[in-house]
Amino acid sequence: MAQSYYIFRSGRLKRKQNTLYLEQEIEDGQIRHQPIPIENVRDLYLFGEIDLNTKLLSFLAQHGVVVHCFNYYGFYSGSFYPRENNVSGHLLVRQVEHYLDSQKRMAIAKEFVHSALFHIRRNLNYYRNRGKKVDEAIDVVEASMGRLQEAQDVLELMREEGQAREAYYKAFNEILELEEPFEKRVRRPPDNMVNALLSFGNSLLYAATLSEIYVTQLNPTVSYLHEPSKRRFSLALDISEIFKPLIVDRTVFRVINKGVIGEEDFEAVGEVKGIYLKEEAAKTFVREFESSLQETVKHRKLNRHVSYRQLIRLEAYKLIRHLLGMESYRAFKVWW
Amino acid sequence: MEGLIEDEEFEQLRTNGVKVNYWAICHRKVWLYAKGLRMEPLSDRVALGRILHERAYPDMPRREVLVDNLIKIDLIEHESKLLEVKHSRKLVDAARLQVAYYLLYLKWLGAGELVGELRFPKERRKEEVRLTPELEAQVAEALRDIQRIEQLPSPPQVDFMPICRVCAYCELCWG
Repeated sequence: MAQSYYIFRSGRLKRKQNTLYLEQEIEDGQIRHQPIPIENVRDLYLFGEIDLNTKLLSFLAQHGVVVHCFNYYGFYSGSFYPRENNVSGHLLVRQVEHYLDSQKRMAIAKEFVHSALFHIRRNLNYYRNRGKKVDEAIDVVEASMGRLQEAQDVLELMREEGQAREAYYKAFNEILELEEPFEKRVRRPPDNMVNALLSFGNSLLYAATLSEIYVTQLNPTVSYLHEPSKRRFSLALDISEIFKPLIVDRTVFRVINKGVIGEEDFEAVGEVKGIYLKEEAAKTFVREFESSLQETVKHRKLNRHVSYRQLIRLEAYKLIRHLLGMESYRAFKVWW
Repeated sequence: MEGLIEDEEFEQLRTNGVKVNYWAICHRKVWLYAKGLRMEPLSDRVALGRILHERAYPDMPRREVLVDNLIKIDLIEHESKLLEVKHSRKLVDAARLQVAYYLLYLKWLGAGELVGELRFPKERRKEEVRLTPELEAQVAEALRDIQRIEQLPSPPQVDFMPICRVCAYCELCWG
């Protein structure tokens, strides 16, 4: 079974005799060669300073391994997305057709937002049942959900989503045991612990979603909720929207409330009012995140256990079914 | 005989062998495969089949003979027998149709009447395939229908079948 490899240490990734090797300098100048069987690798997450060459990239491309790079501060910097050898011009044409026709585009974009808000409400309900005062946020989220049907364009959808999220983030102060109140969501750079964790988690999820899209024939640059842009694989942004509350937010709640990660695990970046995770805490978070992705549920139609990660891929397949006219897209909503 | 295929029509309908095989199993799969939605690279079962194919009959020299850049014959024995290696006999009808199509193709190329054989090395079984008028008519029907399916704007609707569970396309169709 293929798996994700998260590499924090610095060193060199090499292709040697059709296997992947990670070489790291250990004490007294010795080099440790750690083999990584290529057949087991789904994708690589590079956090450390890793040297590599084109011979390695070709080898990874040959095996369809996507490489996600993160900079020194743990911020996502980009992916090596190998050439697809499994393409469908027909599907690409359909993907674009559904983008150009505003009604068709809205139908898909609405599903993304509706599912995202559904899962946000789900998180809030969970905490309400545990006696937290989050009713106000739930009302706002539900009101937004109610207005989605009438939304005329993507901007309006984004606005509804923004309002709901604002109320949701405000409720974080109820949900989380924080010393300093969580004011608002700030990105680039995040200005406090919660924002830093959310940013880090979201970029991990974005990368995982991109890896899942890679194995399908969908083109990752043609998206519906987010505007297709040159800089980003925006379809991964669309699809990860659905899973953020379930995977990222819950992981953040868990690590903070259990005290696994606290203020002492962060450092400011020089003069900039930004916060980044120290290496040990980043590892802890990645471990928690990966275990959320590996959690499984019983799929009713397939009648087998699927992990959250597979659910992301199934979402891509559902989108394909929609684009090919097999069945209307209904975004994933937790059924348990 | 009714349903037999003329040379001209054959030329225009010819396609690759996998589609003929798929046609006997699931029409939706034919459409998806034809449009470049290929799921085989992800399937462990397909990988098993490939390994079996590579390891079976190591002494036979003529392997993976690609004809016209279109059909790929697993093995050719003694210049006259086409062998098709399969993992199990579960989908023997589809395999038979595929081999019949190869035989028809080579006949159309002027190779004369050849013989085919299905090989199931794991089960230590084999089955000879000869081109009968009935089989030829079936191939003709398949080729005509494959063309019709490929022209559909959307994949044909199908019901969930037990075979879906082991199909490489399962998650794409039903996930």
